[in-house]
Amino acid sequence: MHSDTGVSILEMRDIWKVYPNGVIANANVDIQVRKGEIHALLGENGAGKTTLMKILFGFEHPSSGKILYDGKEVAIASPHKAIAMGIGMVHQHFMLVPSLTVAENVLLGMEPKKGLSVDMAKAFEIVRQAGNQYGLSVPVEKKIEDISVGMRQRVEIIKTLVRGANLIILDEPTAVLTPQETVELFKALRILVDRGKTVIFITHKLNEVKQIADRITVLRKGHVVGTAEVKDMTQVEMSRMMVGRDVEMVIEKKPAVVGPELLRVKKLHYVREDKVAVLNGVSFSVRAGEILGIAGVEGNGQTELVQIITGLLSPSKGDIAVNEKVMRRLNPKTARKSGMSHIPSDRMVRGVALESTVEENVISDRYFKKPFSAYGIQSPRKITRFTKGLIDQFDIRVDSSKRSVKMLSGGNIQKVVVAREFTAGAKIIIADQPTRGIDVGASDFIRRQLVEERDQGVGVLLISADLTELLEVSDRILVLYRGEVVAHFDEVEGLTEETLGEYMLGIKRMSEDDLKGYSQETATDKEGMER
Amino acid sequence: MSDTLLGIFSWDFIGSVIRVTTPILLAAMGALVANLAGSPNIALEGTMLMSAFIGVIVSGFTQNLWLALFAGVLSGITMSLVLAFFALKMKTDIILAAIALNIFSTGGTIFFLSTLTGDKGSSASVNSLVFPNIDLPLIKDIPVLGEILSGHHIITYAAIVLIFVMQYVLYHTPLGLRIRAVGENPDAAESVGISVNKTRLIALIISGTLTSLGGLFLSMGYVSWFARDMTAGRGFIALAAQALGGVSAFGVALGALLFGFAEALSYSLQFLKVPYEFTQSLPFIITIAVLAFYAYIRLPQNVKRRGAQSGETRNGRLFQRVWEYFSRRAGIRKGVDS
Amino acid sequence: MKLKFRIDTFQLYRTGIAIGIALLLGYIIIFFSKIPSDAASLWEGVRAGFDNANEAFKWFLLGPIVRWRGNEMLFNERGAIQWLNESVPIIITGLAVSIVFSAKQFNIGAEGQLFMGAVAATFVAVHFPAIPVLHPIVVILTAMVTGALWAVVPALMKAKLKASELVSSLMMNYVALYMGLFLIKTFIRDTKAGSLVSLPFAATAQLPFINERYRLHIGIVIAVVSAVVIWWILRRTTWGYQVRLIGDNINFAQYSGIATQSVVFQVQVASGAVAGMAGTLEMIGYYDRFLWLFSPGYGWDGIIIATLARNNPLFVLVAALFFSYIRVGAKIMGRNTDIAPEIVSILQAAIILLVTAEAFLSGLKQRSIEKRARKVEEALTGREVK
Repeated sequence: MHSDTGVSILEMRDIWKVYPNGVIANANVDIQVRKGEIHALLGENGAGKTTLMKILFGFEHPSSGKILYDGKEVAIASPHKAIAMGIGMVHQHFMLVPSLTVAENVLLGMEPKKGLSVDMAKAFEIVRQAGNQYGLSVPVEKKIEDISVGMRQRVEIIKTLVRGANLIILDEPTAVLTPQETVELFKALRILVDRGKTVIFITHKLNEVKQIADRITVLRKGHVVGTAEVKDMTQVEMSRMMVGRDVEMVIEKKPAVVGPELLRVKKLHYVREDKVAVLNGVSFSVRAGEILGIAGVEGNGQTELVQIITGLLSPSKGDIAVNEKVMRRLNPKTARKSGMSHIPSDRMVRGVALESTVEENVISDRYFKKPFSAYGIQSPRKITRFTKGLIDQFDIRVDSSKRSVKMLSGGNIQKVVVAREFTAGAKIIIADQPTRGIDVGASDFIRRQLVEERDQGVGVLLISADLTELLEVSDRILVLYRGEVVAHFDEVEGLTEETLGEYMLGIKRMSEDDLKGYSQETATDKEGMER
Repeated sequence: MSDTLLGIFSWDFIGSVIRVTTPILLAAMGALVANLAGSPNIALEGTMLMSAFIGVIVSGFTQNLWLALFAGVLSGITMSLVLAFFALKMKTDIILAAIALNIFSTGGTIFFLSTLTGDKGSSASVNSLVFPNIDLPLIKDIPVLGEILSGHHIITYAAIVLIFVMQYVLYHTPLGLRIRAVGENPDAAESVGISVNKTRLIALIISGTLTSLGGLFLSMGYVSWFARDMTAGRGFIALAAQALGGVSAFGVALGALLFGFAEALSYSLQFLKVPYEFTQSLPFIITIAVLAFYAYIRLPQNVKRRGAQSGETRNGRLFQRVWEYFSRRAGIRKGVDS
Repeated sequence: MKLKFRIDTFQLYRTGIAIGIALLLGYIIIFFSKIPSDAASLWEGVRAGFDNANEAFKWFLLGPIVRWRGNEMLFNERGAIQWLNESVPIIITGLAVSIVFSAKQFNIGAEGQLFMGAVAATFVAVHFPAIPVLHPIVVILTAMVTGALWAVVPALMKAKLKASELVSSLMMNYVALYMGLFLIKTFIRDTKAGSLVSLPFAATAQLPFINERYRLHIGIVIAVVSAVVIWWILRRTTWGYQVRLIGDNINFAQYSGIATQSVVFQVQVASGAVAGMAGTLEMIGYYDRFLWLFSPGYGWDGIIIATLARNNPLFVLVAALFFSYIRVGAKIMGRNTDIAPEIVSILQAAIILLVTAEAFLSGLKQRSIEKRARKVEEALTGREVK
């Protein structure tokens, strides 16, 4: 539209990025961005978008590959260098100082001076002008902590502009915005490209791509799937590129033998501290002997949902019932007592204590029980014996049960988590991204374990960004979009990733009537009214 | 009784308040700069002691006041440089490094004192100079006011000027802006090319300089000799004064004044048979109470989130928070009325 | 019970090197301070410097355990006893601090806790009915309870209000100092004595002596037993397990169902109880009355010792004995030469700075990690990895 066809401002050629732990974040990535366009970088979480942009902004260095900026080959050693070249980046987590004013934040490090002092009047003027020039008016004299998230984002954009950015990278800019703020942002982006700037827009929201972007490059699992003109594509086509299809896995699964209801989530609402409503009345139930999968693009409420169910977070409204009993004082301890176990999504933050040994990690939820301790005194030999058993059973690759967990590989650390959670004697297992970032062998092992638990009559709630996994393992699937259940599938047979993708990305949603039956919603309502 | 009371609140008393406040004030401002930069300086105590010592020794051996000033300040800066080197470069925990420096000063000053003078208790045998008191021309002749304002020690005047200088530097210059930015969000500062370590180094150097003036005042203003452990915890008291005073130099000055007032009062009240220990411990109890209150008003949003269990705590921006708290309360009441 | 140490060889090397550097630094300082200013020539001066420094170091390094009669080396009983006695309070504070550090909490309030503990203990030691055996036990328990109570204030502020324990525990130290002195002065002062001291303790309050001549009291036994008990509690009980898990990863501990907030509170109070007896043991062991005019500084020593010992109570013993050894050595050096024993704090500071500097010799650490990773890999795969 506004782009001079063919004149590229940026080309990245054959970029590879292999992290020290062996994870390949980018492989053979080629991307070309034209001057004056809005270029969307589309992909699921973990597809390698952010790594690619970090390389471009000098935070990370590519293992190999070439970057051409304005036709010249460049090496971007640091963000400083990137800024000097005219590249600006608006991070997902804003880089702002809350107690300083808007103007101070924008001009930090390049303050106008009058004598020895910062010339505040001039600073206000500079920032005001820079903003007005691009339709981004900001309250220059207010402190960051006193302005809205949308305003803060504007400040970040102005920050790049006053530093002379010609190419502006926005990392999931709409994730934190209200719909109105998003409209405002898009207006501003249009003005930016009208004035000759180029924008790279990282996202996984298709409707936004359709609204604002000129071209897209789609990444999946570190590879470029393709580049295309947005006007030539439908949202469905885009979603297919993004979600794609991988090699089939084969997990033998007997038909589910469903028992009584074990876990019920009733009309859960959660409003985050920044007043964003993350969950809007989510209800469902998990029964014994089934695996309920939850699909959804990350950031649509899954994290909060899991934290609330496991007692790490209090809901704003709504109840959790275990075995048809509403949990009044739900915290991790009572949750575990009621028969829940939890594989957390980020094993390094919650799943393990890195400096502690494998033994200490596998007993963290049962250290007070026999035979691990008696009268408050631990029984080291029994703990060791138990741990050795787990090491064998779960095939954890470690030479001693007394090795600290930080010495293990990612897959083996996850096996430590899984070993603990699968042997807790739980009736309900909340598995949040159980196979994220681990090797194929370990993933397969964990999936088989999940199915086995379900065959034993355990109820499993599986949250996963890996659709192949969800379709392979789940008996039923719900789709979460913007904190609401937008689809449910009682039958997984015949369901495709493309279909799921359309619901996950908000292209489609089931009608209220279709959704009604999925978790005996009506029964819940009645019960709720009676109470 | 009323005579004694009068005696307590005499001009002498005010003079004594100002005198005992001076070193605490200087060190508290040192604490402020370092804290704002996010690199708290617990080594104030040792820094003060070292400068007090170096000042006396250099003045005693050279009989040159300027050299003594230079050496005293330089020793304060050196302490800060060592702290910065270990904390910023060698990744020592900054609090542990500071504790080590305090230990170094406590013993080191005694060792060097004894090596140089043969006396371990004080530098009485060294004939040190003192920094002079200053009579302000014209003002000193004004009745009452002259008595209060004039005739103080030169470092006291310097300290008063420095309150304004520090407020200006911290809140009106690019350096101050960067120091505050680095302390509050190092990532934000780094993302626009401000070196976090360099900024913290500068802040620590300023901190060391201010604190060393406080030390020099102790040995070359208050008295004319150095005695072992002569700081007697003033460096730590300065930390408390800063915690009490918040993030503005004026607030910190008030905090220091409270401690100075209590110390002076404790001397005077002895005549009234009020145990000086009571008055001495009062500022500390006040500090604890204020910290508790400050933490309490920040609490509501924390309590609701049961997830927030990590030990993140921070002191700072006291007055602002208190102000916000009260304005919020007022706002709520207004809302009910209308 | 089998004691099994997991000694990190790298830490051992590093501590050794740090101590070496510190000693060298001390030697150099003494050398320069002992070059006579009136030496005939530079060479003479340098030689005198070396001679003096060697002499000083002989006393410093060997003094606590060796005395000389002519050229004959004898066991220095008095020095060794002083060494043991002086290690008692810092072992105890080291233990107290290592408990809180194990949960990754901070506590600089040990100083006030032990001061207040000693003040309360003084009252009981003077006034409690003179029942042998029971008396010292009651005294010590009083000290512990008082120390624990003194720790409650910052602990509550932290648990309930999330106020930083750093400043509040520091403030409590000063309140303890002033209030403690006031209580001693007002209620239990010995007016016949020249300086501010308490009335003498009842004879029954005295800790038994192991060696009466040089006043070796059983404080050292109490300290060693405490170290083993605390080690056992931290390593072998479920409570200790909770504490360590919180110290390693508080989010994980909470996720696992541990009541992190209350354990953190308990840790602070337990540490206060232990710290409470630090000064009291010295007072009813070595002295016979309360005679502090200032804070003794053991609380600060405790922080350093716990840090050097990496929070392991058994290593606390080693670190405290080491510190007390070089302190006593320095004192003996001071008695036999004219070098001020305070030089030892320069060495202490250097040791702390170097040992706690993560970047110090970190290259070496990297290599050792790689070596270990290779070993693990070899053990697993059964083949050699290059």
